[in-house]
Amino acid sequence: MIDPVIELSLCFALALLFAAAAWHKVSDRVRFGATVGAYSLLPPWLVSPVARLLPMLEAGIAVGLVYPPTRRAAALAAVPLLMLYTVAIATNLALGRREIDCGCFASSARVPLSNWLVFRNVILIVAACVLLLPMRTRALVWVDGATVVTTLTTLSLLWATGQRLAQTGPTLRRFGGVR
Amino acid sequence: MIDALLISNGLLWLLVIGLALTVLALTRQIGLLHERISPVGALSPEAKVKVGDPAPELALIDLHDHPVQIGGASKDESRTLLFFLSPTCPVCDTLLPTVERVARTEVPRVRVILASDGLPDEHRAFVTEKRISHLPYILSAPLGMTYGVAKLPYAVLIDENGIVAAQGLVNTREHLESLFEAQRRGVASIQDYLEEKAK
Repeated sequence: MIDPVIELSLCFALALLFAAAAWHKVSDRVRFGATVGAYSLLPPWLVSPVARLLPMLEAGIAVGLVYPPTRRAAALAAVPLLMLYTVAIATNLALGRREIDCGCFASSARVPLSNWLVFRNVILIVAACVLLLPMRTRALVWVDGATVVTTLTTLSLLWATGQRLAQTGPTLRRFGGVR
Repeated sequence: MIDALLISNGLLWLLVIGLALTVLALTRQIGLLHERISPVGALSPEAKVKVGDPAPELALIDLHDHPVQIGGASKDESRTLLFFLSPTCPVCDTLLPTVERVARTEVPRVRVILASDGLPDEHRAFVTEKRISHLPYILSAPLGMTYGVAKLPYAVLIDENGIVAAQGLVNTREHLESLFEAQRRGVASIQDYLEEKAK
């Protein structure tokens, strides 16, 4: 049984994430198209339609997560989408193509592929799966509101820090040195 | 109410663990930074006077007509930094403030001697422009030849016993400081030190 506070925190956090991801993909469509191509998992004629479809799916999931009646359906849709991303990243990592941009978010924050991204996506998949579990019902009090808001704030900040780390880590490793 | 507080507490712990993991990742990156960015040292080409050799004793007259003694045991326990420069070398210009600071602040004391060659008038104008008249300034081609100075700016650190402690081509503040660091660690150059460490 999942407490409603956990459900609310998770679904708002995921909704924020998908909304941000969709926004970045739409705002720089050319670059995202190039990124989808760089993953080189699709035949060339499919690259452009998929690059258009993915942000729409993400936006749909974001809206669906916020609206209670469609919440489960949206979570159900988020799981395969995240799995698709994870498999795409893992395949390219296995082929040794680490230099391509993740394409997850804004172009200003170029994040090269790394194991961390796979791990991060697994966490997101687990979070989406938690939303599919049966919910417990109880009366919400003001403390719950505070918990949801502070959890969302902290998660956003942690997320931003994780992004920075994923960005600087590989750069650091590329540095030449004594060794 | 108790449920709400329990849930809030549980979430808080999860977030604290998340934070701790992030801090751990951060410290790892700092560690990597430390490992990858090694110190830089002054480039020490094959020199005529080797590190560990006694500095050739020379008695010279500087631009302000004061006698200057280079080499031999120091009377006042001070070290000597010979800084070879030229008024036409821009890197020498940018390094001059650092050299002056070294003369003021290094402990034990360092006597800074600027060295160059050429026509005195040009150098007098340079000294006035850079306000370095408080430092001895020697014009002597033989001095440069004695140490085999081929490129500028070049610096030689002579210890209080008149032994060459470190020398090399200095292009940055780090290079200049590496000479003092090399003396402190008792190595010929920072490059030697890093090689030793790598073994």
